[in-house]
Amino acid sequence: MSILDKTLDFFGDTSEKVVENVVGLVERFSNAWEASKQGTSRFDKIKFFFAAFMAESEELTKEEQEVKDKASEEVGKQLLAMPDDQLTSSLKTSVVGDAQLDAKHAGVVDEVLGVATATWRQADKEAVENKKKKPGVYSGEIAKLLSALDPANKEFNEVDLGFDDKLKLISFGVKTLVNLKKEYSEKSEFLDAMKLFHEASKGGKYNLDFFKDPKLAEKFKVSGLQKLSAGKWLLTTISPILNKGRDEKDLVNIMDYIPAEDDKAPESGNKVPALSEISAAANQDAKVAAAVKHAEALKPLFINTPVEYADEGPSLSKMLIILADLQAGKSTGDTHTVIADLVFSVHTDDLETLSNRLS
Amino acid sequence: MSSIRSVILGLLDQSSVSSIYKGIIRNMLPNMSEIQMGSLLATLNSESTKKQIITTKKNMLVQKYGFILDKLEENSEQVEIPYEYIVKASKKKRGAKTTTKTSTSLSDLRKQVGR
Repeated sequence: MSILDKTLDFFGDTSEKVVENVVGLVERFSNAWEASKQGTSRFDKIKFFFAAFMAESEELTKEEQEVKDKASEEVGKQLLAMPDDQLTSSLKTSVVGDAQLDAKHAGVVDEVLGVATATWRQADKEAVENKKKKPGVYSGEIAKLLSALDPANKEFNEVDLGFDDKLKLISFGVKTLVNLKKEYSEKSEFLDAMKLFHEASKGGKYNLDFFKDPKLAEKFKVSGLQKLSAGKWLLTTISPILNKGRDEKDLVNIMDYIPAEDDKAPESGNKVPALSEISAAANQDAKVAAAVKHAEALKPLFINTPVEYADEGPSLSKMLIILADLQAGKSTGDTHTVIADLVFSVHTDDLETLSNRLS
Repeated sequence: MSSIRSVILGLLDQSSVSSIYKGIIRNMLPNMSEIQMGSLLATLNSESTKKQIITTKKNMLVQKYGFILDKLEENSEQVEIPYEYIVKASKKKRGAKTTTKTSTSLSDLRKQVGR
C-alpha cells in the first residue's frame, strides 16, 4: 500500500474536498521527502512531521469510527426496544415486497420473521451476558455484515469477509435455524414452512434463493471443503466445535498424527484413511465418498457422547456433503429443501453447540 | 409527511448505520410513535454533528501541515520540531517493539503445541 493509499485509508470515507486536500498534502510530503534526502537535517524534520501527520490522522480516523460505532449501537438498542409486531411488520416489507399474501403464506412469514426477531434479541442478550458487550453492539456488528452481503450492495463483489466475520455470521445463521427447528420440530413441518416462506419472498428484496447463490458461497469459502477434504475440514473447523472436552492442543496433535499414521488405530479404535486417499481418488464423486468415509471414521474421536440421529435422518457426513455442494455451486433441489436437509442432518444439540462455539 | 419524519429520512441517508437498519427504519417510520421518532432523531442528529466536527478537524489538519510544509520548503533551518511531535514519534517506536514481542509469544505458543 502506498503512503497515499495508507493515508486515505486512515481518513476513511469522507467528502471529496477533504480527500482532494489530503491527496495534495501527501503528494507534497512525498516530494519534500525525496528532496530532503540530500540533507540529513531536513530529511529528519520531514520524517518527524510526516509521522506526526500520520499519527494525528489515525487519531481522527479512530474518533470517526467511534462515532459510527456509537450511532450503530444506539440505533440497534432503539430497534431492539421496539415491540415485536412493529419489528416483524417492518422486516416483512423488505422480505415480501408489495406481494399480496394469502392467509397461509402471511401466517408463515409472520412466524418465521417472529423467530428471526426473537433470535436477534436473544443473540444480542447473549453477547451482553457472555461477551460483556454493550446492548446493541452485537446487533450492530451483525447488521453491518448482513448489509455487506445484501445482494443490492453495489460493492458486494469487493466484500472480503474476515475469518471472525464468517464465524460470527455462521453462528447467527445457525442460531436462527435452530430456533426455526424448535418452532417446526418435524422435518415435514419445517419443509412446508420454508416452502411457503420461499414462495412468499420471491418478489422481495431478500429472496431466500440467495442462500444457494454461488456468489454468497464464495464469500464463505472454506479451502478444506472446497477441495473436498472433508476429513481435514472436519478436523480444523467442525471438530473443535463439536468436540466436547478436548482442547485445541489435542486437536493439533491429532491433526499431525492422522495423516502420517495411516494404519495405526487412534484411541477410538477406528481405522482412519489418510488424506492422501481423498486426493488420490479418481473423480469428484470418489473424492466425496473418501472424504465422507474419512469424516465418519473421525467422528467418534470428537463427539465423546455420540448422538443418535435415528429420528433426525442421516449424520454429520450428510451436512458436509450439503455444504460442499453449496460451496461448489452444485447444489440441486429447491432452496427450502436444501435448508431443511441441512438443518435436519445434525442433531439440534450439536447445532446449538456449533452456534455457541462460533459466536 | 411530518417534518420530523423528513428530517429523520434526510439524516438517515447521510448516516453510517448499516443498510439493513436503514431499511428497517424506513419501513417502520410511518408507524413510529413521537417518542420513538424523537429518540431516533436525537441519535442521528448527534452522529451527523460529530461527523461534521471531524470533517472540520480533518480540514484543519490539512491546513496545519500544509503550512508546516510551506515553511520547510521556504527554509527548513528555521523550522523547529515541537516537543509533542518527538513524543509521538517515540510512542510509535515503542508500539513497534510491543508488536514484535506479541509475535514472538505466538511463535512460542505454536512451538509448544508442536506446529
